[in-house]
Amino acid sequence: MKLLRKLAVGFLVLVAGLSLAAGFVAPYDYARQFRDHSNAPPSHAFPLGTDDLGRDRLSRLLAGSRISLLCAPAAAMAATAIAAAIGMAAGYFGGWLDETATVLTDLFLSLPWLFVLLTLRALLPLNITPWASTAATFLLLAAVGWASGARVVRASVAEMRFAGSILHARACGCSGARLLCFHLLPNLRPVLSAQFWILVPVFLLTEANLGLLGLGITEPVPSLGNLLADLQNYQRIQEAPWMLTPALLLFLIVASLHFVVSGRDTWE
Amino acid sequence: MPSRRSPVWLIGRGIAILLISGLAGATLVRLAPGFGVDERSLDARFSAPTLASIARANERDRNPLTFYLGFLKGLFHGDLGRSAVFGQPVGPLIRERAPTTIRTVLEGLILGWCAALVLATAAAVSRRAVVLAVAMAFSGSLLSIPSALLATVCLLLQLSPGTAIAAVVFPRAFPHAYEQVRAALAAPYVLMARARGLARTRVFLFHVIPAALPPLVALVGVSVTLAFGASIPIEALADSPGLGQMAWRAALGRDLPVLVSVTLLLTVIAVSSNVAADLIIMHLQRRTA
Repeated sequence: MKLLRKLAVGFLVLVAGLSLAAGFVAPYDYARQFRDHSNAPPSHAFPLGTDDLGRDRLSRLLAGSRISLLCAPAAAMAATAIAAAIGMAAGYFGGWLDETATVLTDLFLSLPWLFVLLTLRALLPLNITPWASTAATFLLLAAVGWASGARVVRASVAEMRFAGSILHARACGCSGARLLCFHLLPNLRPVLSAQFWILVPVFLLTEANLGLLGLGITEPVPSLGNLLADLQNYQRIQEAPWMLTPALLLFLIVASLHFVVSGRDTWE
Repeated sequence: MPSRRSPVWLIGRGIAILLISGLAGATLVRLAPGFGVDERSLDARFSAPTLASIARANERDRNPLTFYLGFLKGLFHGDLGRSAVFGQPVGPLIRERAPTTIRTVLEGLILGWCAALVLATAAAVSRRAVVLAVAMAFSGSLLSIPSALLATVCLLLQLSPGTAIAAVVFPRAFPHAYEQVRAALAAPYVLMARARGLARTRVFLFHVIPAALPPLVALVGVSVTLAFGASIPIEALADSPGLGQMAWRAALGRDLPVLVSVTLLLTVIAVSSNVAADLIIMHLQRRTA
């Protein structure tokens, strides 16, 4: 298992490195069209072939994985920050704040994610730019995905507030905000880190679902999700199996993340 | 005030969540770009007083709370608005499509849970590392594939949309089912029962299953929400005429009355299944105690 985890880390580092260096590694710009070569099979010039609009699939895959691998962790970070703020306030102050936060958390946990995301996505203006749609998609993911983390943080803080160190700090006159930021927050690091690593693959998969349905990041900006939109014509897969490359890459990234996350405790 | 574990509290909390989510939905519709813009205002046949009357009618809905109360009133009368994409009232549309989705989701839930329970029991009872490794690898692989892609794979293999939902439910259910069965098998009273010579089947049916059941019932409640969520990409790709496909087409056409009504309906189903799961757990725990 240790060897598999090392392989998973190695693969993630390789993909992250290649996608971050997409500007140098990719043969062409992701939006450049070769109109005489639309739907071309893999060749020396186009190692993964071209899409309907004659764009190089490899260049788009590298640029798309860069966007997904940067934005999903950013969204997970934002969701973890929201979870930390709500969970800490609810767990530490208790009372009506705790009740409200609990109902809010239950509400978000009860909602079918994808339906809510579709509704929120449909509310955005039609003339939204591709980069604004990228930001909106991942911000929506962060806005919807904080609830499970908030519940865990709340439970941890509620348990921690009566710990000796915290009671001592309070007895020494430490104020609420200072106590939360400098005494409770550092102790929550393992919980928050676990929540972050759980959310990254979840957000990658949700973005992929939205992208495949044509409701994620808008063209021409590529992402691992909207590169899968070609699979809506699944009848073409047998004659052009290279269409599956983004799906395979996404699968390997998420599986590697699961491996790394499950082995994190052992490493620490 | 009822205790937090009482049925009254659980049902009351469920109703409060539904009312808040309804208010959130109505507020979203109210804040949507283009709300209150009426295509009749562009029609040259209408006179100025008629246009002023239309504007006054739209003005009444400016306040989200008034709008929500109107929405609730309509809801009680079965009037959920009119779909722009489908050109029909939303109520009959939902009534027409809900059975397909419920059938698909039920098929997926039953298939996914049966597979998870059978495999978890096999892995826990056999205690062979190979069986567990294969089951975990299979479950982990399914967990790493987006539901839309699972739907594509099922379509290529000519499997039903319910199978794709089962593939979404299985990897979430299997690890928990395995842990519960394994923990119950290792419990002291189970060891005692086996030491006293009780038949394996009897021990499993009357000692292991009752202990493993309550946490799994809670997970069944959660998996209902998961299965309905997965129905969107699966029905959209499989061209299955259910609520998921309708929501997808409504999202592409920015048909908010449909989206909000379907989301609210699914929230009702999700909250009800969670409350039902909590009530069943309470009942089971009382019986065990």
